[in-house]
Amino acid sequence: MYTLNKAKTSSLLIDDIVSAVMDDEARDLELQQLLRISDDTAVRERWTRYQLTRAILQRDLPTCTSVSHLELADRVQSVLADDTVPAPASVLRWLSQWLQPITGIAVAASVAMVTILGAYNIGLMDTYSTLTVHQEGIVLVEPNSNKNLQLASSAFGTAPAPQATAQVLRLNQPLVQSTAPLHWQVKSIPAGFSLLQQQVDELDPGQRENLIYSNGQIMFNLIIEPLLGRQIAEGHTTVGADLVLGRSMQVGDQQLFVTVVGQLSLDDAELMVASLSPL
Amino acid sequence: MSSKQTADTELVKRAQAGDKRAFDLLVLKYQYKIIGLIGRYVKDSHEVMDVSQDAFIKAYRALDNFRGESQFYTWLYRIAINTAKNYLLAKARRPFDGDVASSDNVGEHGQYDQVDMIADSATPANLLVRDQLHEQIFATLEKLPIDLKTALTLREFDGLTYEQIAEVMGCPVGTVRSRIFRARAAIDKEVERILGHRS
Repeated sequence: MYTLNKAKTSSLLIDDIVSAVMDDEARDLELQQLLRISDDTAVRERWTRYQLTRAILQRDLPTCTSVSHLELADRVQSVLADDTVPAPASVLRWLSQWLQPITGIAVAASVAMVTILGAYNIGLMDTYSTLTVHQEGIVLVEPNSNKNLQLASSAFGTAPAPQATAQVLRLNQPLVQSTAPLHWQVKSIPAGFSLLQQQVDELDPGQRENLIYSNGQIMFNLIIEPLLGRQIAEGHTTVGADLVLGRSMQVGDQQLFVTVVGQLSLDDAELMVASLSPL
Repeated sequence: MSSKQTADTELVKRAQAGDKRAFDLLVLKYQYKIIGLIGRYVKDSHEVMDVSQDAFIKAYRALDNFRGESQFYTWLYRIAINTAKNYLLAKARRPFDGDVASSDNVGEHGQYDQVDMIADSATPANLLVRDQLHEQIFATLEKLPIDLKTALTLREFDGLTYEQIAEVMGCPVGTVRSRIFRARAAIDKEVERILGHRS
């Protein structure tokens, strides 16, 4: 199985995937991987050069314009980045139909909760934020805290604070780690990911468990709630870079609705949902 | 290769769902064809880029109307032709009476024949790079080990699938895939070198 880690994806592996996608010979997962890393300049350029090469081999390259091959796509991308360009209407229609019945779940808010900042030098972080060492290589930054940098940096480990680097996740709201016991466990977790946060909301009856996983670079939510006799359409779509998957399922004598939101492949999301079991 | 489907179908589906990166890959894939197509209508190279950009933006906004009943690129071509036509009408540069009734017209005789003569704004610099690329790509292809060259040419020139190529070459599909990507990687080194020097 190919790694999903952009930084570790080798050049040859990218060549292989790009080449197969060009020929409609790639697996779904590989296409998803390409999409996930397609904002990487090197990958984007490679995809474009491969298309350029094909155009030349097939004598399809126009003479009427520059071979500055990223210019047009950059311009299109720039316009599309403008909020005035509406997303295809189908997204909003589909999401509104699907997500509305899920009471109390603000999926968009869940996705927006964490902003991935990437690798940062700890010494350069805001001093008014809380830096929490979650696990090796991952540091959480919480807003509006008086804890100082030195305290957090010292918690980072033995490395001197100014030189220490890690993947930093900036939380848009304070970290709330629920103490309520979880009722469900996920046995199949994508390689490299670990449980970052768990939230439990009491329902009547039952409870909703919101599990947040991260590998330090990307994250996703898995939300488990009782179906309670509701009819909720299942399906999946993507919103930007995020997958949204909804599945109703029967585990033992309980009917559940499971929602997965975030940057992971459909295959991984389906595997996680399928591996759900009671604790 | 389970659950294999055309990359265009999947990219369009994702773009329809709001994934702009998917649409970016489609733009990068079809930009040469669209630029070439619009270049048949519009003479100035800067205007070609403007109209091409407009065509892709219109396509993005209209993605919801794409039902997959035709190939994505024929649908895109039709938008590009109409965009070029509207541009010419707006600029009143050229009366254009033809109606783009079907994407099947793309690449056929008729309307294109009327406009082919106006569209050649290639600059010497562009032609030079184009010639360099053309020469180097074909030279590298010739120098490739025979298995790599055969696999790539069967794919690019004959349009065979990996499975068909495997049958022709008497090897597993995985080997075909490997040979093709190694051939492309070898050529890409040269393309990257030329474009790198240029920039």
